[in-house]
Amino acid sequence: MNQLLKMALLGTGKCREEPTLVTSPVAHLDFISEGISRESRLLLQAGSLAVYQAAGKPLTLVPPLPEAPADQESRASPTLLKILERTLTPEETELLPEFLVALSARGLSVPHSLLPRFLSLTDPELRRELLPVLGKRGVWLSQFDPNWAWCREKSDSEEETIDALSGPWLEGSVTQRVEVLGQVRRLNPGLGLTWLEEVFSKEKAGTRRAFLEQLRVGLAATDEPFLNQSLSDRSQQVRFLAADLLMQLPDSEVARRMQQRGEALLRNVAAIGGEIHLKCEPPQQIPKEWLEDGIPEKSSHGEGPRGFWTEEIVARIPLGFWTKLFERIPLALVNGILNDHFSHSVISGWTRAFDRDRLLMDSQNALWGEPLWKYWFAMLQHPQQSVKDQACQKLRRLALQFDPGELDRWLLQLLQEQPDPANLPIVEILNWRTGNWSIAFSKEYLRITKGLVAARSDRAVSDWLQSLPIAAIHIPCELIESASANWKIRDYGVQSGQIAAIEKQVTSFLERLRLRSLFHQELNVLVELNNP
Amino acid sequence: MSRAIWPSDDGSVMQLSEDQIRELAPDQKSVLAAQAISNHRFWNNPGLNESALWGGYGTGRGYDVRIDLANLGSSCNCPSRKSPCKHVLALLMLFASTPAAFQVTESPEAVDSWIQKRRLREQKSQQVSETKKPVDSVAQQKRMQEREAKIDEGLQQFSVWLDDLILNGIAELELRPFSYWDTQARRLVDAQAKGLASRVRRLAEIPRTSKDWPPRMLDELGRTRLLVHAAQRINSLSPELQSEVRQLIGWNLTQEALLESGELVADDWLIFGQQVEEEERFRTQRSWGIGLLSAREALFLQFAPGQQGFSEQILPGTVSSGTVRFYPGTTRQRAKFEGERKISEVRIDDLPALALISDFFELYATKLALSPWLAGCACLLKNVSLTRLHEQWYVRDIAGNGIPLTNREPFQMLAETGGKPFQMMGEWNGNALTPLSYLIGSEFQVCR
Repeated sequence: MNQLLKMALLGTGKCREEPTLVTSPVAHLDFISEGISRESRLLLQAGSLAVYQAAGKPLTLVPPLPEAPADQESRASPTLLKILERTLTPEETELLPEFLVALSARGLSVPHSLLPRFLSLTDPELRRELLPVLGKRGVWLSQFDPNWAWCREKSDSEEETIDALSGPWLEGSVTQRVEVLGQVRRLNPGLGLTWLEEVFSKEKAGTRRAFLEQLRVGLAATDEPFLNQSLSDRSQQVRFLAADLLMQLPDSEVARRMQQRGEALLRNVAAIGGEIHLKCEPPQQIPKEWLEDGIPEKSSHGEGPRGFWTEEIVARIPLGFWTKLFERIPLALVNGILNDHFSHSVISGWTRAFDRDRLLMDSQNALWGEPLWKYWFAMLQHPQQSVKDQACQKLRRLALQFDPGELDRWLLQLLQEQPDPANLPIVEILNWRTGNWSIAFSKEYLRITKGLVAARSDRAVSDWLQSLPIAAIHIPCELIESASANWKIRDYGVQSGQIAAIEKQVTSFLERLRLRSLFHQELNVLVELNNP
Repeated sequence: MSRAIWPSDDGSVMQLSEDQIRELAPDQKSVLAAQAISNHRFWNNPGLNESALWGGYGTGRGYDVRIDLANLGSSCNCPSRKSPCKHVLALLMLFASTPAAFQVTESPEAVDSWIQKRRLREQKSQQVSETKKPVDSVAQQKRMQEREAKIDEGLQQFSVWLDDLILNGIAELELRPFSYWDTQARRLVDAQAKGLASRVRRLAEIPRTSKDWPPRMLDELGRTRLLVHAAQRINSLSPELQSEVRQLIGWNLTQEALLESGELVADDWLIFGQQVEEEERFRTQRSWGIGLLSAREALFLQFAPGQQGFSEQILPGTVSSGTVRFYPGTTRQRAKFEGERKISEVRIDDLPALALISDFFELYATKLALSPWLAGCACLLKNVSLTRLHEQWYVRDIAGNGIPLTNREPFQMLAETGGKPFQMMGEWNGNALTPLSYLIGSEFQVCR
């Protein structure tokens, strides 16, 4: 720190000496002879020194940066660049997956000028689609911002060795240890169980539960002894979870007990040779053994206890048990219970079992899909809103089980069989379906939507039109032109708020379709330019 | 006022990019609002000829929008007070994205009449500025003396204030409230020394900006005191330095004085960067240009109240071919366009730039010798590449020397250059370089 700065900081009032720059090349500029104050002299000298230093700035040697590897950049047109920029805004980001997949399919990378913005995306699904189209430039660029390290993380093919995982298992946070246990179970389920057994009793209840959950990965009969032990854990949550896991081992004691309970619960009361007619007879009081096996005593949703217990028991029994027990196909079983007082509880239980068993990929189990779907589809018309909501929830879970083609057929049927489709929770329904819709489904959706808009402007239509943003993304490319054509909004002769809102929704939908169409056109041009 | 002619050499109309249209907007909200309506569904009968662009927005009564292609002046009968309004911006965006949809045709009578009135007004304004009113030299002299007396008094008071500050020490400045600086700034404004007032306001920012603020504060206080010292001895300075000091203090140059003493230079002026600063009740636009033939740097300053647009359309990423008048002074940096100018796209692959940072530092030292209070100067470098050392980004020349960048994340440039050499244009403030635009091959990009 030079003398001037010291004096200036303290104040000349506290310093007796004269301000001077003894060894500076501008020391001769002391301004003493000019008859001005000490303070002004200090500032003038400081100013002179500042100018001198600014004029004589020393050079700084800096190392070069390694250049990016050679990369074939696709020379995107200004229009294509503009479209991609637009899809990086929050309003249009839903279009990105389609565009990134299209780029990847044609062996193209994102334009270099947009790399920083693409690398800054945080959505895991978008990052997954982005990886193949980053190109060498994108990977090179990612080293300069720690937030972009995600694209240089190890791929699935690089698995960490068990040795590398043991460190975090012993010393990591709870979250890290849970993740590690899951990884070890994937690599070597037996070893994962051994690690768990060594520490289990010393952990807190919440941690024990989280660890136990990881046994779902690679669950096998060899886990049964440990799980049986956990049935007497001091934490109720751990006991219930252990029971739940045991029930997925068909030969376990708990599973056998549950099946016995199921057998007692449901009986075929039809005449011999006749169509199956099932009767459900749950107990009046919950037996103590049921509680010990993890069946909750009371419902948290205010359901009646007997119906609740019925659902809980049925949900814990593999579906294959029932078809084997009654020697009937699933459709017959569902039809067979429909007239029973507890039919809703039984079918709810079967639906939960269907969801849980999806990993089994059993072709027999797949036959349950259609009758369950039809049941819940019918429940959408139930007068009680709570039942409708439950039906929506069940249908959403069921939709995850169907392949896209199958789901499209069910959804198409759903649309076609509604007397007034505007009453459907269409936004909820369309969210069950990911990826591009089938042509048939898209056409039906558009037919209904255009018809509604041309004939009505009530609140139900406005609610239906909330589905347009979803449709704009999922209607297949080959239908974009017809989807954009022939929209007529009902003209009352008077502009109203409702009509204005409908116009706005339709305009946004058409704009999105136009953007998609333009993107694919520009992409085709780019591909032709790159491959003449 | 200068006129900017947009038609290109071949007679077609030059396309503005969406970025350039955004630069015209008074704020980001206007840009977003314009984007929402830049769709043909909202527009009726858009048209175009060599003088104007027009269109009708909305249904029913709607709004009539007109744009004068000679200077991008506009008219819209919507109730918005912003200029240009969202409708004007939207029409420009629509033209930028779908030029083929605009038929070149005869303009409607209303548009014709509007253009004619504008031309008449411009002619009258030109005549008024060229007509010299008889000057009452005695009154003028008296006014000058009164003004100088006011400034002298203001400088005297300011010197005392600076002395008081140093007497107490700069360490306590960190605790001083905003009013400490603001009161002094207002006194300077009253004393007709707006330039010094702005300096004081900038000094107020220093204690909050970094850990090493005391040496920076002393440097700036010192330079400010040097300026006051020069102003108090103005008659002993050369005429050029007198002009420089007067402008720095805040003495506005009259149009007559500018015409008398300003230097005219004709060239193709590449506008390579622009920054807009918001102050209390007005905005300042700083646009940097470089003469492609003369290699003269030019700083165009414009001021606009509130959300009003600036009177001249100066767009970064364009080349304005025409004459520029430099303000008198030692540095001859500040300039304004004069007469007609033709605007075109940037089509260059080489700039009047320096290859070595050592040469640039020498040039800067020369400029500082002419004006020790130089706030910033243009810095054009070629064959440089980006690099990083200890989390600080630099631009590096072929000799291995680097200039630090103000930009902490020059990722856009890095992505496009791939670490390879390119040409960069920016503003050097004495400590660091703010990149404003760059050239990779013949691709010109304005930094965003």
